Amino acid sequence: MLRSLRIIGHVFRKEILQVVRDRQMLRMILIMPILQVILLGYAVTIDVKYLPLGVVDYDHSPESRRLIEDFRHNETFDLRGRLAGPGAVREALDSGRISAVLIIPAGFASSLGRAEPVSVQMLMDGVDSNASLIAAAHARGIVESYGLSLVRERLAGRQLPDLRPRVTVFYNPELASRFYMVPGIVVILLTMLTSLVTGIGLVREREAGTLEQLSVTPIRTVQLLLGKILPFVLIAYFVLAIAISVCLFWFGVPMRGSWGLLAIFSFLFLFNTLGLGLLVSTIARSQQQALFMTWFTLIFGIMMSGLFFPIENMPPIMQQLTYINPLRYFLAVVRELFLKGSGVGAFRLETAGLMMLGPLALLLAGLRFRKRAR
Amino acid sequence: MFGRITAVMGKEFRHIVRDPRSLVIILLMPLLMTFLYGYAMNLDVKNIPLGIVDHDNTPESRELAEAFLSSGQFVLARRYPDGQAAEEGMRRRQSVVTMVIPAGYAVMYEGGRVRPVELLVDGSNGNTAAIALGYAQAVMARKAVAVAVELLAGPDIQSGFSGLPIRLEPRFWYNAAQKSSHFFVPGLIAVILMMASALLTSVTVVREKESGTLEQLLVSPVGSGELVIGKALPYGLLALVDGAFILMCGSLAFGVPLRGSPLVLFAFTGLYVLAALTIGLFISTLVDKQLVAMFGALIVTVLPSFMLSGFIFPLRSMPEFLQLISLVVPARYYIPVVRGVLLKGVGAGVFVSNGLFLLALMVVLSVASVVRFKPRLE
Amino acid sequence: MPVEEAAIQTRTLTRTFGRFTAVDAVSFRVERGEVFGLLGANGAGKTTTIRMLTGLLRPSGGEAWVVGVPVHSAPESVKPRIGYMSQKFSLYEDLTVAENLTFFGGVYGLPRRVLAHRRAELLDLFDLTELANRLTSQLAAGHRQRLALASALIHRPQLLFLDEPTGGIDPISRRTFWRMIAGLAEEGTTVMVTTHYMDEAEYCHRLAVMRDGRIVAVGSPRDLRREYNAATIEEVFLAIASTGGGS
Repeated sequence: MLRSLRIIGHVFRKEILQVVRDRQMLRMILIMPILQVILLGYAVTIDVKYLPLGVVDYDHSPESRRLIEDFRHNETFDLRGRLAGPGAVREALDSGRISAVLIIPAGFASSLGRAEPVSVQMLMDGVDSNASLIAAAHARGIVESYGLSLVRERLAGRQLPDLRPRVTVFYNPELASRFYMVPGIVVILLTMLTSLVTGIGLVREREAGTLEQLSVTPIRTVQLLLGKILPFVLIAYFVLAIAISVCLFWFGVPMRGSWGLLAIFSFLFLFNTLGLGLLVSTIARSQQQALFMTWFTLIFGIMMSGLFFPIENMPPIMQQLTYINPLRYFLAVVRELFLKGSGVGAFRLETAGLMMLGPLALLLAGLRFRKRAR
Repeated sequence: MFGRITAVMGKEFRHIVRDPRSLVIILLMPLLMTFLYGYAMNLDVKNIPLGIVDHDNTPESRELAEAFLSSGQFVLARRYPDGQAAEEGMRRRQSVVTMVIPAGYAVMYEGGRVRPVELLVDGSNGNTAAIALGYAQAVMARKAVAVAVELLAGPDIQSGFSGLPIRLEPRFWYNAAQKSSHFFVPGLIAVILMMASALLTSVTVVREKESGTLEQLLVSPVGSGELVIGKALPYGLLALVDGAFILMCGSLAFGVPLRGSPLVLFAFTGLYVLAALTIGLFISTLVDKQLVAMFGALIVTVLPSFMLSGFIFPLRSMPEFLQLISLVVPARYYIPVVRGVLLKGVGAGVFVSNGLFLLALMVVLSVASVVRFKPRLE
Repeated sequence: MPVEEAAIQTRTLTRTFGRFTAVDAVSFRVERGEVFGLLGANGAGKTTTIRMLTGLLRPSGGEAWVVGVPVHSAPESVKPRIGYMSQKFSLYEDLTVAENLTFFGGVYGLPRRVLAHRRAELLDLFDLTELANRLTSQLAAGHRQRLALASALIHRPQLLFLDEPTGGIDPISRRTFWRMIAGLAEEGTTVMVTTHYMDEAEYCHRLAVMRDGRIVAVGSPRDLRREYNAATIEEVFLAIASTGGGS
């Protein structure tokens, strides 16, 4: 037992030495987390804001101008000016200068005066289907509240039912999407780093022939794999610490949960990514292949994790598929821990998922990795 | 000269073909991503899980709940006995919005004043929450008008309106069916092209550095310019195949149209691929380990192509410094061209500045690479 | 025949890859303390034989005992007792000389004190003490080869396998190398070596010549020269290669 630990210790020491000695790699490991978290933390916003808006006003009435003013004072749209007619509209949308055009028909004010319902048209550049849908919803909101205020004015002095709700937003009162995204990016980062580095490590030894040299020594597969994995667990925690510091101190994301729980779940998760890395390294014949395979699985994992795109919106089959995605579980844990401070009780599914998938990957890797004679 | 370039190219092609695993991944990746994006990637917020606490339990309160559920945006997650249970349910991710209807709500229908309806929102996903909240408020605003109209529909009422007086009619141009695949496919082409050309080129050159064969080539009469071209072009071609692959998948599976001129698309794609190749080459002159090259290429090329190009995340919502950085991201200039040609059917005239930028980037980087690539003896 | 007397004893050892038979029913015996050379053209089956004897490759048929361990059934148990140095000198380029030795010693589970002692001893023996803190990637080929040999000896193996150990080494380094091998044999270490260099074959106590997966001649260099009526082993080798016949 002691002897076994000593052997693992020697592999561990060797890996650390190799990492420390590789300046380029080291720089990458240190700079990447900070750069990535900051960059992505700002870039990943799906808030629809400042959509360039053009207006065609065929009515030229105080009423139409009031509606246009309402659009001007809304953050969703950035009112760029008036367009003369259909030709200008087509040109503006085609070139992408303008993403939406509000068209107020002639007779807008007079119809309203006669209490006849009117329609205003909004042409949207539908290329970005999501953004245009969301923007359209906002636009409808603006128009409807304009309508509501008209009704209120007409009924001045009358007691109207008041259905304005009292809103309480939990966990993230400013509704900053950053608070939701940034911890998720930390997860992605951890995944990329650990799975790639372990995956490549073993393949590099195979390419260099040192793996064969190790094969004629009495070292056991378990000892070798553990010795190779553990340094990266350590490095992963280090990187996690850096990335989380950026989260807390740069972005001001609150940490409401228990640090201990985060550490434990990170540990569970690391066995998933390291297991994946090892599994890849048993299949890949060259570093390049290892890189591609890991990258391939990573993209799949990230897309199906719910980070950018909500899982509930996916078709049922894809939703089922996400259950074998460890990222999905860890991402949920990290987000809920940071923002809600949930306890273990809230993470039964996640615990089960991570505890099953990690060892499974390691087991498969161990089975496939043959130090022994073929 | 062309003989030598072809020799290097031939060797590189053989590398590619002899490694079927990598080849399969290179060709499978765009396929998988097209389908993932096409089917799975939906940012729209619908089927928002709604929790309900009904302290009133009258036909009127049930009508309000019904208004939410029939709006198409909300689905009933669960009914809770009180606010505390609702909060616990939110902590367990059962609901995003919970509506608490106070006792005596129905009195309002007779013109009485009551405590307002409460909306409890799980703000952890800021985006979803904001949109969900917007929908909820819209439902309630509409209900308010309906109640007002009903309440005041007596003979003495002169408002004249029988509902909301104005409607907005949105029309979605270029993508009438509102398919997200139409949005993603052009961006995907840009990302995959970047991956296939920049990433592969940098890794392949560095691999030769690692194995020492680069040195072998450098002592041969092959000039560094020829070597660079010979090594990079096959990956450029591979990238073009990938791009065509995505275009085909997008068109067959999701009906993404090609409304503009294929020639314009092809020309700009060629320019973009060349720019991507030079970035890959430049990276390979800076590093000497495959893993480092991979990470480097990821950070410098693939990630920005995803994040800072308008592929998914709108540039105008980003802080200014990121918008500035995005000015040197080739995909930023290429993606609008692809979208323009595929979906809008616009001509090359609109994109002159985009083309010029790509060209400039390519020239600067290729000069830099060739200078750094010169055979040097230590 | 008491098996444990021999350093290596094989009986119809065979290995096939698909339909190709790389090693075809090879039987031979190597005594303890012997330097035993395995000669043969590329593809004759030398490396496959060594890989089977070191437990890297499972035999398709036959049996082999290495230092008394049946490697055909228990390939792992032979490993603590043998050393192996391959033609590629597989060392960690980004570790120093001393670190490479420490690592391989550690992998064999040597206790710390024993390891430190053994490392100093080997550095001294192979004249590497001054280079102990040099990165392996910066070593000249001759030094690298010595380091590889030292790494293979760190755990005092009873039997040392050398697979084309002198490729890419200058003649002077080669001679020094063989002097070390002779010293090892004198101390009782058995050495099994494959080589291309026919002049090196003269350093071996006994030789086996392989052809198409079979051993076609065995004997001391002198016996072989006499049997084939040749002045050098090279001539012997050419004679065997050209006759094209088995034994």
